[in-house]
Amino acid sequence: MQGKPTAVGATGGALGLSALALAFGLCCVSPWAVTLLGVGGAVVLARLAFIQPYVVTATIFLLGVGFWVVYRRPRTAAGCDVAQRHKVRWLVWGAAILVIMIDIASFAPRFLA
Amino acid sequence: MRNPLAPARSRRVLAIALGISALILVGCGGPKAQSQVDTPVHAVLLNGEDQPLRDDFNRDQGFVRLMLLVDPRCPECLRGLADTGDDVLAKLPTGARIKVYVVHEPVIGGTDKDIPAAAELLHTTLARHYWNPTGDFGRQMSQVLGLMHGSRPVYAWDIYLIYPPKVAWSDKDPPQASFMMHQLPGLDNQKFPPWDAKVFAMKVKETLAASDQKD
Repeated sequence: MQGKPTAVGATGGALGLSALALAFGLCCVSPWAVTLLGVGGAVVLARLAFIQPYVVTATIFLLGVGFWVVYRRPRTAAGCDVAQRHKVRWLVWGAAILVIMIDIASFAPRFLA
Repeated sequence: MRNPLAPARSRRVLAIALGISALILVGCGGPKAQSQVDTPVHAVLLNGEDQPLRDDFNRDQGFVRLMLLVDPRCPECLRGLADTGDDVLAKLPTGARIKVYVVHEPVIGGTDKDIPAAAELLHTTLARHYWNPTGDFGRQMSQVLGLMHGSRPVYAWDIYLIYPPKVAWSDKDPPQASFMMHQLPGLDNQKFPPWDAKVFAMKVKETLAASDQKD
């Protein structure tokens, strides 16, 4: 499929960034940050936590790129590998569900406090 | 026709996204993240009684007093301590009449072993540290400050208080602070301003200046 690498890259990137958003979201309600990053690292994480909404926005944007790539009309006949296209669509949908769940979880501490 | 540049482009997208994540997280855990405390910090035990803190507070009348309530393992609290060290204490003139009390509470699993590394963030040996393993000081301060989320009391931690020089602790409970900031979700931000180190530093300087004028 023509856009497979782009779709995989974008959704993979979205997954990575959603993990970062989760780290920002959970950093202040669990003691893991100090254990993993030390006191200085935990301070940096807390100081950067304000970018969490922007990181979540970036994950949505990357998911959008992934969906756009797998659902756009192929420009050439060579891009019409239907089986491959379905596989990538499943991959993007799976990643999208995962990313959205992680994004929601990253905001949970704000509302459960 | 297959676009020969596509794999490279996807690798770039993936690399940029993952790179940002990795750099931020891995960069956090550099050598500076490790504790560099040379001298052990002594934390006074507040075990169901406020007496040691009350005695220190009243002995220091004539000084502007800052009281910080934190969990020594909470990143937000550590950020508050670091900001207080960097933006407030480090910028005060030498000999400023100020005292700092840090009450450490075990809210998310902090222990007294975490206090030395947390204390280092203040960049001063002038602060006195207290360890309240029962956490009752937070409940007491919650009532004193009237911290509520709707009808539910909010435990007092990640809170930064300023007391003017003349305030004394005469009742059972600690006195009202002249200014308070916090990093807690759910509080009314009009009534309780959220943490802003620059504003806090300005308030500390104002309180110091007001006390100098009165003297």
